[in-house]
Amino acid sequence: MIAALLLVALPLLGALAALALGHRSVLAAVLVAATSTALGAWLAFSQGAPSGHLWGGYFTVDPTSRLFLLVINLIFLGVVGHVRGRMQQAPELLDGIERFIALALTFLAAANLSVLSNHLLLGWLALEATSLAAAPLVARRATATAVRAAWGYFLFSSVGLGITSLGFACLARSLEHSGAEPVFFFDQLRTLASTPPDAWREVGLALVIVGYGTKLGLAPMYSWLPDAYEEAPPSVTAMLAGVQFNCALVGLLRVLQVYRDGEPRMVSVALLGIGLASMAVSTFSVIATHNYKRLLAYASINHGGVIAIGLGPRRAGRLRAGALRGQQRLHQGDPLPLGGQDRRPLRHPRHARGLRAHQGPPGERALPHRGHLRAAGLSPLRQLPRRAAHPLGADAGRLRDRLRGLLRAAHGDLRGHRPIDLPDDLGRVEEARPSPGAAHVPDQAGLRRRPRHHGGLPAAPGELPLRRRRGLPRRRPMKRSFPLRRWAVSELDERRGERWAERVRARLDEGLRVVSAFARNEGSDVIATALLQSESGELELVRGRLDRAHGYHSLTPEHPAMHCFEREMHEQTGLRIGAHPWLKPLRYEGVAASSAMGAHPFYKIQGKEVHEVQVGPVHAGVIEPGAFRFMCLGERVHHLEIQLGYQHRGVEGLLLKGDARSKAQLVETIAGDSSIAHGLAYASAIEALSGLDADAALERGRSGRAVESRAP
Amino acid sequence: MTSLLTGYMLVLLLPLFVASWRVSLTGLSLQGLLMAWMLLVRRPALSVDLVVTIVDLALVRGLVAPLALRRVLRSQRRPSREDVIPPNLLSWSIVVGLVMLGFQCAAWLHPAPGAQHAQVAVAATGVLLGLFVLASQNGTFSQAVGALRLEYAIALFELGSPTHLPLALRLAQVTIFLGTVLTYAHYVGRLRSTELAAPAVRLQ
Repeated sequence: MIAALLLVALPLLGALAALALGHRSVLAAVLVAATSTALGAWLAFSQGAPSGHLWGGYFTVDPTSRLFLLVINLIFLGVVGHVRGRMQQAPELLDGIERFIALALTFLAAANLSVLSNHLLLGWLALEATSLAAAPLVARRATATAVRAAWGYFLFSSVGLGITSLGFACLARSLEHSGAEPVFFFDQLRTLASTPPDAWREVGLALVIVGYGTKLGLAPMYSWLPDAYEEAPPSVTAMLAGVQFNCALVGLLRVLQVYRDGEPRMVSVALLGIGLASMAVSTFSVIATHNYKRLLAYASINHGGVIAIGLGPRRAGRLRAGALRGQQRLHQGDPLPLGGQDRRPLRHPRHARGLRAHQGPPGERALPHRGHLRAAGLSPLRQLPRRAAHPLGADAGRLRDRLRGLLRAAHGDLRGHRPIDLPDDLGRVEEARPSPGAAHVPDQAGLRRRPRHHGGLPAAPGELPLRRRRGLPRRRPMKRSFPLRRWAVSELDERRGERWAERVRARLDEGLRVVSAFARNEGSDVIATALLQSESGELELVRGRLDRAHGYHSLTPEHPAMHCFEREMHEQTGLRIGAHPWLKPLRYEGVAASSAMGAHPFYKIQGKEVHEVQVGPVHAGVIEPGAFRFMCLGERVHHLEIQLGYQHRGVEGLLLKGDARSKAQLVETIAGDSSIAHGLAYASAIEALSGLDADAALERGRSGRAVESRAP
Repeated sequence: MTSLLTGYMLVLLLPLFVASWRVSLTGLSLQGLLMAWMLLVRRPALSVDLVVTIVDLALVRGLVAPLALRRVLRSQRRPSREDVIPPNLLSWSIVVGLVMLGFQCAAWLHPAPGAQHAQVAVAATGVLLGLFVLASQNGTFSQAVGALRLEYAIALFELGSPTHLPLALRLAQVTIFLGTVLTYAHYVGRLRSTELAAPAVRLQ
């Protein structure tokens, strides 16, 4: 009896303690989960464990509760073990961990209570409490999509449990109509269920099945599940899939234990319909699934469908066997051509190719659940190959990064961020970077070979040489120095996670300014690069590999110059940028762009005399499309916001195709008001990649044209 | 049908045709207060259970829930127009059809005419309309209103049952409902700010 009470009380006490323990709450959670698991195991396996009804009949320890208590506590132990491991690997995740642990332990207490409950409403209330505890956990990443997924989860849970509650009320009415006293204890209901069936009971049972089915993620109310599984942290996904799913299943099982014999036809039809519908929608959805967490979500719906069919018609043995066979195929991973953290789309033709490409060694095929292991990136016998994120490979991605950096550097400077005094800069930098022993002999075009010296920085580990393009001179392998002539590069740094942001923040605090920041996807990670410039004109690159889901805390509040760059990084890669004050799309790239363009959430100033003036997006002259929204009060402009993204020509993709020497015209047409600047930057990039240097006279001429192009 | 149930039916239907969040919240508030009134006109014996039920209906459902949402919406300075259902003839026709379906359900479940029949009919109509609001809207506030309409209809249905729950369970039920309402209000406020900042477009 004490053990059953402890299974509820211990996590609750742990939740309270977690709030006071701070970072050490993770260890406390592991201890609580281990103790709960031990208690669950003792209840399940010990001969001396209590059984029957406890605490006035509200709790029950029967084979069902023993089995599920062991399962959910074991899963929860695994979850907190995983959380502890992640905290050690990524200390930045410790932020707010005590709240996370408190909610997780409350969730466990409510889950144990719902499994132990012998009372319809007590179990229902405990299940509702698990939803209340889990909703903030789903939204832990605090991104807009995570919050929306948490809302969807909570709304569907509330509605599903509301329908269940209505079903209970109908079942109580059924008892009233039969002349019996309405009760909600399962053991008493079993004796009363033999009363003749009526409409109230049919409606009540149907509502209970639909309500619990919603909680299980079954059709028709399943749409919350893929979003919640995808957006929640993996530990929370495991809690929803492994703990809450089982609690809802226990609730449904207990109702069916009471009523299935009295209403076999209705129960069979309802469960069969829901099960088949769930299997159908999950099977079709798997085809269109884009990432492995959604894939697992649909697999969970599929499992739920199989369970519903299994609980339903007693004589449908053949149908149940067929469903199980189909589910087993999914379980064994035949349609899951996933490896590592690959998130590429799964479609029919690729399925076939991916299957051939990812068939493991013969021994692996004999392993059960290998599909799930693969989907989770845990191929049991070998590490499956990870595909490069960029379609043209890592080298092309690197080249693109460099070109983008160069273009943005030039673009930022020539847009007036600082006065242009290129001739002086040139002289000073050339003095600062002498090239001893290297003879600079200008050729006829004003170009000269740059010496092999690149600043003496060591080569980056694993850095590959660029592919040779036809028509370009043979290049040396890439070095760590950034091949710009006018600025020295002090550092190119590989940093992980939050440390990248800390490094950038530290350098910006020291007075460097941001020239550009951009990111690209690489598998499940995001490679973020910040290009910084010191007062003396030296460039510094800080590059880091970030977990897309965890991201980093925004730099914008301290350094507003980062705000557009962070918006673009988030928009293009989905990188989480926490606490960004203005995280809305910048470029409107992608499928939803056309619909989103007309609904840009401009900043509003309210007031009777405030008026908005829109200029653009079509402008006279050479400037690019953009909507300028002025918020004015009389003659005074209080706010101006520019909406970009009206034109997408795929310039970056075009730059990577064909002969690099033919791209000058393309580069000059990127933006009408920056033709010279972009042309200059592109020429500098090609020269740098080719190992050529322009002499000072040519550089001055180009710079003069750039300055003239900015003159009114 | 009693005058209270008629009034309840009116506050159930009117906000569907008036596109204003203030009217929606007033409707919810009136639903809670009318349910409390219905309970009191039966003149039940004073008990702790009765007090808890009155607190649940009048205070939590009648005042706290609408006021919590109102506070969030006022802090956002949200425009007064907020459609609960799509403002078109089809939606209005569906509403009429659902009202008829609710009464048909009541005739099937509780054929004997009388107060119980009317209460079941109004509760069934409330459930169906709540589900319709949920199905036809994807705005956070409208969905929250739809879910609350469903909860209120369930409460009305349970009001007609003589089942008495233990006090601890009754208190837990009220606490859970209160937590649910506050969570709704939290997400209505939080998702409004993310709706303003349009959802990120991912290139994957």
